Amino acid sequence: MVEDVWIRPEQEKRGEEMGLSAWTRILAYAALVVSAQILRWGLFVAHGFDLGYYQQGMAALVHDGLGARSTYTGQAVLAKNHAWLLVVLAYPATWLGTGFLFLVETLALASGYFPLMRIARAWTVPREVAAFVGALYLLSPLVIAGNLYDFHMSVLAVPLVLYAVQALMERHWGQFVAFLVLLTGCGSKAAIAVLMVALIAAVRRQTWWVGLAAIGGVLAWMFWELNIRLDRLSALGWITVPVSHTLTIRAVLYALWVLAPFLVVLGALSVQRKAFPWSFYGVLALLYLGGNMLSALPASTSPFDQKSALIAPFLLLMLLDVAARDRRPWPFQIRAAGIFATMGLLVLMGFDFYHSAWKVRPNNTMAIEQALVAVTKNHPIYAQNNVLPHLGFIINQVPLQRFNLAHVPIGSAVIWDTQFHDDTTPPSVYRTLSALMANKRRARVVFDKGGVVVFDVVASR
Amino acid sequence: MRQREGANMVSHSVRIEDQEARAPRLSPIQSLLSRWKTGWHQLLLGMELTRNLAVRDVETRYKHSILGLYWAIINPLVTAGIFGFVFGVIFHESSKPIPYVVFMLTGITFWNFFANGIMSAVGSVSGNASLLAKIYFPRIVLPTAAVLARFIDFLFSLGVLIVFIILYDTPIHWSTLWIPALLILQVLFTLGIGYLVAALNVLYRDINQLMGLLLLVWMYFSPVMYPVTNLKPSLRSILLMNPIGSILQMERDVIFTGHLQYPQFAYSALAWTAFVFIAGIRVFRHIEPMFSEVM
Repeated sequence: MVEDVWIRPEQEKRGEEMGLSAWTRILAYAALVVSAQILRWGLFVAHGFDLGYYQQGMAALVHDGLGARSTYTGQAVLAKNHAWLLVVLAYPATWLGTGFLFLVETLALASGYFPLMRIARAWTVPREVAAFVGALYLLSPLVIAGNLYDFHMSVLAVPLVLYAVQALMERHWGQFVAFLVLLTGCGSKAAIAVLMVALIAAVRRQTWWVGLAAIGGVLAWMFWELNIRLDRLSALGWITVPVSHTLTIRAVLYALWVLAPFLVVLGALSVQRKAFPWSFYGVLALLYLGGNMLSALPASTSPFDQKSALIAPFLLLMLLDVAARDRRPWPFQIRAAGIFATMGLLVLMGFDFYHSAWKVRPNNTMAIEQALVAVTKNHPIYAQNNVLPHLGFIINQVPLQRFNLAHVPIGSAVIWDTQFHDDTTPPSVYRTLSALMANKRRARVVFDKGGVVVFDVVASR
Repeated sequence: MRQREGANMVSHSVRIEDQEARAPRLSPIQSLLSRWKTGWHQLLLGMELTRNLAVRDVETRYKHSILGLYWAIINPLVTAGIFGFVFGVIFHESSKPIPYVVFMLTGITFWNFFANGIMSAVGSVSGNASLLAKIYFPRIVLPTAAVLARFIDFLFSLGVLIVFIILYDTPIHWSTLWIPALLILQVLFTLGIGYLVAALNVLYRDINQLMGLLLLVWMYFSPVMYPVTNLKPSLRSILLMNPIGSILQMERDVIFTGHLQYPQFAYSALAWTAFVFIAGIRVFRHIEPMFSEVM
């Protein structure tokens, strides 16, 4: 029998629909977050210490090779956080611009949805629950905030953790090792996440030998390459961060904010099933959270700091693990409560953004744009935190924080919005700049409009 | 008769033979290859049908008119003339160093393709109810063909733009060669919106009216008639967040400036285009089974 019609097999069509749905969600996330990132940059809300540092570092890597130095830290670029993937990103980024960095980071994070769904399928998690966990991932304020606040190499570890766990579950050893190696490229801030992935392999009966080998490899990398000593692991490896010996209210509140959506779901589930669900992945998430809580750096105890983003994959794996062992679809009310709690945290993220970034941005943006055109890029350019990302991929950008008249090279330019004070530049620097500008023999003003000044240093004494 | 017409448009048809039960079991690779082969064949068929429908659309549109295809040239000229008078003469809008007429006509030409493409796509499915009832073919071909028909009109308008660029002696850059890449982006964005509105219009006929209104508002929020260069960075950033606004700005930039003035916004336009295109297909496929019931 031959039919002269256009017929598509129903099964194939259904599979295609599922793929399209996933892509729609992922691309919706990418479009919204990339736009928000670019808007932040366009409104001078992006920070030099989050984005400018990477722009300068990548430009320096392309220009000077692996020994390139950062003008932000004074150290070698790769010595600060050992994120060797920077080298891979540096060449296309310096060519394609800042937007490329935003797009790569966002697409990488959005793609974490795929391994999460594959893991859910491998663990035979009910379809509605898998979709719910996927939605929690794409709506997670921990992930979105880490993604939105400019650019960080450590954030790229979030999807890589999920890809590594997926490879482990599907017993694709080559892929598993490849993802572990890629994870090491996200730098020292992802070190504990790499160790935890290796631990996941070690505690599984079928993969303990892979896990032990991975733990050995990861520990060797941490001790020799990252130079992490045992005495500094007292804070569970939060390497560059000093440890706080008192648990503050802020730290406790931080833990509650991070866990809130998950506690709501697990709490409601335990009431219904009359037993509190427990998962090994939850322990890993708590260990990670504990490390951040003990950190003496205030930024580490913010749910919207990039350090918190790496807790998200372990919390989501915990939910999938609980669902896999529960084997029953979760009631709509429980899923709705989880989404509602996550949305609440998103609102909180909005308030945090308003107070920490929006209210402390420069307002003379028109004048700053004109000042950026007036400055020549052959000599070091000193600028405030919010102006630095607009200098782009140049090796000469230096944060104003590091302005020291004794060491400033002759010919250096300074872009200074006199009506704006960023949080990173100490008052002593502003006093020095005022004195310098008043002395015409030491500074030559090339631009002065709307409170924004550009001057060249012509003599240090 | 209609059935024969449809069969003619589908010049090659897929032969689905009742061999599956008799065929030997295929290995996973053979099965994948076979699916790819079928998918590729169907794609070719779809492309041919789309082309035929688009050409038919243009032919029937101008068949019994006196001026015929000249309408594709007259429309943008009249629109540019009116807006040019209002903004250039009355409001003294400046677009230096590009002559305002050329600046304006560039915006109108590219915008018209987008707006006309969407307005054609809106009624493409609901206007072909009798065809849909008689033969089966992928329904998504209809809005695709409608948008491509407007692309043919656009090519004629582009000719007018080139004439004006020469008349006003406006320098253009080698980067103009990037226009095809930007047009692909614009076509995909238009198709995405086209799929969405074509499907929704089957369920709710208000979409046709709504889109006319929405496109009017959308045009004023896009840099069609004014340059964004002199605007405050905050306002400019918000305007360029609009994907079609960003695409129009890029199209003007590659022709007259030689480089992208706001390259970051290209990435947001790219991300939105990808999302709108895939989401458009998703929504269309979701509503497609309801077409026969509603119509």
